[in-house]
Amino acid sequence: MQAMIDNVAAFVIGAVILFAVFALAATSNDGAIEAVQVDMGKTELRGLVDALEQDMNNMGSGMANPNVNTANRVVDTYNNPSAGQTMLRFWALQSDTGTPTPDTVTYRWRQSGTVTFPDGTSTPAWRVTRSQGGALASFTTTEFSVTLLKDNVVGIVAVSPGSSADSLALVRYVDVAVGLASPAGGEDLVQQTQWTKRFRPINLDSNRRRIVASKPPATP
Amino acid sequence: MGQYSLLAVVGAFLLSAVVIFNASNSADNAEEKVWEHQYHVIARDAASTGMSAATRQLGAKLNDAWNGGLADQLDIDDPGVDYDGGRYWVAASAASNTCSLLTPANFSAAVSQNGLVLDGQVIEVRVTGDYDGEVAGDPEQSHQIVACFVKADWSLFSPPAFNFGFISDDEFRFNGGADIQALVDGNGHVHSNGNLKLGPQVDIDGVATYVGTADVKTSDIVEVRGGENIPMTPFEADTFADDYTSGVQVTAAGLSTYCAANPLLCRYNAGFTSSSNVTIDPTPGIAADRYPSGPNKPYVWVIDGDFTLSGGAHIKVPQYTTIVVTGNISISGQSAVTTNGETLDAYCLRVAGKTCNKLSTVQQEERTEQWVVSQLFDGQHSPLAWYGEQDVTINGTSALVGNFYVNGDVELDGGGQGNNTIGSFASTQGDVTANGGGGGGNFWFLEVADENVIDGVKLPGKQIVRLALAEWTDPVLDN
Repeated sequence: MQAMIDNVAAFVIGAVILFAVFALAATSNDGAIEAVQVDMGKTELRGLVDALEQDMNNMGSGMANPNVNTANRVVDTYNNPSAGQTMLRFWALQSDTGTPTPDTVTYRWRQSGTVTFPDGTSTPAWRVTRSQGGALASFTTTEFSVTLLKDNVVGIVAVSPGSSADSLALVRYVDVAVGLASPAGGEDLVQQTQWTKRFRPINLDSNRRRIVASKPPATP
Repeated sequence: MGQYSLLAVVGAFLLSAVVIFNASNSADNAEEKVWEHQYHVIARDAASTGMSAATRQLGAKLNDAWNGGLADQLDIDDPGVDYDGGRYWVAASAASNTCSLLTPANFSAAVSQNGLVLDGQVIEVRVTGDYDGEVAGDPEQSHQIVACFVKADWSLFSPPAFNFGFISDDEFRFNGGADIQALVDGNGHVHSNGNLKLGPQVDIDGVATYVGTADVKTSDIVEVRGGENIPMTPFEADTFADDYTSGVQVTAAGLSTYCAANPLLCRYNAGFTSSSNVTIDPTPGIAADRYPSGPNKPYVWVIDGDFTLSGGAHIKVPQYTTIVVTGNISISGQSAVTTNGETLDAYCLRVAGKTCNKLSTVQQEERTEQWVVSQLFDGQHSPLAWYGEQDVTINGTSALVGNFYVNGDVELDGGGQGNNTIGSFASTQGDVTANGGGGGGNFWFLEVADENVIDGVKLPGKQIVRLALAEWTDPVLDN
């Protein structure tokens, strides 16, 4: 009798321990998987940010007379090639070695589904691709926008293919916003990481060339 | 049972350990990416600082020979200059007519299309910013900025005279209630290479400088003080004609032929007099944009004689137009020259439903500023320039757009509603006189657009020009 009671007790205790251990493992596994999702997103976001920073800073590099007129404009295309998609294409050097011939860099972005948070709210997901010289890189974000601005910080609107794009020669600033959200995690967790920056690529400015003159105007 | 339980517990722990290890690994990777980015930011700041320092050094050496010796002076070798936990190095080199950031064809185009006459060799400066932060086995994070500089004749950009709202090479007299304001950054400064005289009602949103003596009775001015002599080169229409037509046409008669053959680029009049409205619009349909005259070439209107506008005539001209007048310029009787065909009063009437003088002071200022902006293509620069070999007389206009650069006297007699003028006035050999009675003259200083600066008024001297610039961060540098 005593042996049977011992076995039952051992079974119950063992089952409780097993349940507790598995519950603990499942919880920590879920947490770890969520963390991995968030971290992978952050890693991907930083990869996109690194590419964007170098591309934007180098806009117009390697060109003889960027933006002196519409024929020499740095931003080649900024339009909506299809519903929901935006395309930005510009010229820039891609390497510090070899023949310094500028190449085109193309960013395309379109909404691709939505991301739903644990609290029930949702946000659009964006598919962003960067292509240059046959190389293609894709990213998924929850926010992506590129705004081209003139010297007076007035925005330039993306046009339909075939429309006049002469105003693209007037681009002086570029506003970029990128966001990343993880659908995993509790409601009280930070769910979105955002990165925004205003670039003023020096090669876009037709006044950029003069550095100093021997007879500068007197500064009152 | 006990053995199985123990086995299950151990298995669960092992599984969790693997998952948590992976999570920890991914967290480390994510953190590394964040660190890497921060290190790149510091490295870029360091490189930018190094480039600024090198540029300042070049500026100080403007009058030296530009060659390998100058490049050697810019070099900063190991261990570099400390900057915010990082450091920067500078490697400079000199070569004739070449820059590693431009193909030979692009280098030639950059020089010739900008009218640069080079003096010495090209100085290429390569600045590397660095931060000792190990990421994924890479012990340091770097950013590099490369730029090519040349020393050249001063043939680009507006000469100093265009940096002032008003400037005279001789006497400068302002009486009446003239207001001089600035639309964009900076002020509407005035300068006289001779004597300066400002009446008690003059209001200047800027600084007045002079070389001779000063008699200033107004207190509505930022500052009055002595200044340097500003070099002012007289305008020569023949020099302009020679430059504009690239040596094909060199006389006024030749310009007539040239303009007749190129109506989209040029208009020619042997004198121009009008007391009725005229629209100078050779290419309807593209009025919102600049005219396709080629790099730095605006639409040009050559008047080989006097330009006279009277009787409320309204002239509408395209944006980025350069008006060349070999005779006198006279605009009077509430006449107007605008880029969009709308005077200030017409604007107020359209937008506010009443003429400007019936609006409150605040509303007037707001509408006036909006009207000024409506005349500009880029929102910042005056899109019209007037070059004259003789005098300019403005006697009461309703609207006038343009930067005036004339050799003779400038006389502004804006009575009644005064002169609503956008731009600036420069007299290279004469006086500037304003006698704005009544409401005085309202002058909105704006710099002239580069498109409208012409070689006829270029100044002697040298400038440093940055021909090319590019920058690279670790993903490229590491490859």
